[in-house]
Amino acid sequence: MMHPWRRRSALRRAADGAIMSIVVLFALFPIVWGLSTSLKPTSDILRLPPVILPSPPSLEHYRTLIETGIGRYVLNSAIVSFFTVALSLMLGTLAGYALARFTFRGKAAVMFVIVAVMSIPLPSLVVPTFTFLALLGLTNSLVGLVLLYTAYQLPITVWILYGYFQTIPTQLENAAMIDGYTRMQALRKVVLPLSGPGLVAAALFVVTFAWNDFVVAVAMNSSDEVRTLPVAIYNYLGFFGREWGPLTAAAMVSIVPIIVVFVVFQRYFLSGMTGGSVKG
Amino acid sequence: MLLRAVVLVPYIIAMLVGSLLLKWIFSTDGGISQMLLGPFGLQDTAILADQRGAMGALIFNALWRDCGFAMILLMAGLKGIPFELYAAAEVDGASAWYRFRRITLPLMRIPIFITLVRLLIHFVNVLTFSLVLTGGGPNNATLTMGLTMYRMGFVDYRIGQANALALMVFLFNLVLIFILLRLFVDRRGIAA
Repeated sequence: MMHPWRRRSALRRAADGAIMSIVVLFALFPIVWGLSTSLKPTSDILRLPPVILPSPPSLEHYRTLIETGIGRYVLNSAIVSFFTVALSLMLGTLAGYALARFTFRGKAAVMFVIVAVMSIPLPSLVVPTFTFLALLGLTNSLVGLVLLYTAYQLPITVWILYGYFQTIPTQLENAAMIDGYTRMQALRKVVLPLSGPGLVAAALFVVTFAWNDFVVAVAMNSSDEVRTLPVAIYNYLGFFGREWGPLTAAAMVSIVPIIVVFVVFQRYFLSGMTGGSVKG
Repeated sequence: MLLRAVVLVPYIIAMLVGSLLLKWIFSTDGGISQMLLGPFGLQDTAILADQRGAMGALIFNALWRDCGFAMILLMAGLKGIPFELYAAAEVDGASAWYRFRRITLPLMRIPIFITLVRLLIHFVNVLTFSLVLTGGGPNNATLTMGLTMYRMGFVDYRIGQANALALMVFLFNLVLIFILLRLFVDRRGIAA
């Protein structure tokens, strides 16, 4: 807690600075060390004493990865993430809007179920959903993954968007509808343009899930053409064994895009994270 | 604000990748932990090959990834406490510890409850940490329920058994949530 009415002593500030540095080091060191390893030529990786800044940096491990066809996996992950976000936002908008604006029988039950479903742990669902997906013949396909990810992420999407729509005054839509818009037009042309932050927050949740998910993807898909990046990295662990160069390089391929997205949009991410949970 | 983003970085990257990076840190083939332990005469310790060490590494992994997440949730709760309460208590001569116990803790009941539920459910079920970092070993010392389920279903292809275990794990989660509810929600039914 900040205490604005009390000046902090220089000693306190120094202690704060020291604690903050330790926290930053704790959080980022494994990532920085991985990045550093991924840029070292193989002969330098195990050299003691270790250096953080490899000189000169080498891209040989990234080249190895491209030769083993990592591009395919990145593309698969990107496709799945994109369509999952699109589908979740579409369905989430409709459901969230209905919950925010209409009263209907069973609304409280629907809200309760949405919150309840959010707290079901994912790993306990994997085996049953695999059985179900196999029944539908959708295992080993990107379509199956998109549908599953959407199903997993829809509750949080609906919840975030429901919360956001509630903050938008109804007068705007009512005015638009008096002027002749239908409900859907009002949603599309009045509400959605005002919902940027809510949509971004929801999209961020979905995209980090879809891009990062390993547990679901490894269970549902086994063939190479539909392998997503995290599953590919898991397979690299077996394939490269103790060659940490390509392994850390693959790790970087996975985390750099998500960190960039996070840094750009972190404001929305934080609002969605706390809004979606503390209200619940 | 920057610090908030930094502590969340381990949380937003793929769990699998985070565990991979930590595995490299703990690894015996030139992992940096050997170096750091060297001055204490422990340079030959293979952390992940020792039962206790592997469990420690697993816990470290969980802490590393989820501390930031817990921090953000709790911070949102802290921000909801009116600042005047602290000022008034201080005027009345309440010590820092007393203010914490009598203002912060009671008002943080719901945020703490929510954070606990989310963390507990996550940790009870997670399988990626142990799958990547320790592989459940050595000697099954770090085998978790999630990992057992995964192996049953997708390594041994005993789908029926895995389904049964999944249901049991799910029920176990419900019991945990129920216990937490009982602890945090008083008889009037309002958690406050």
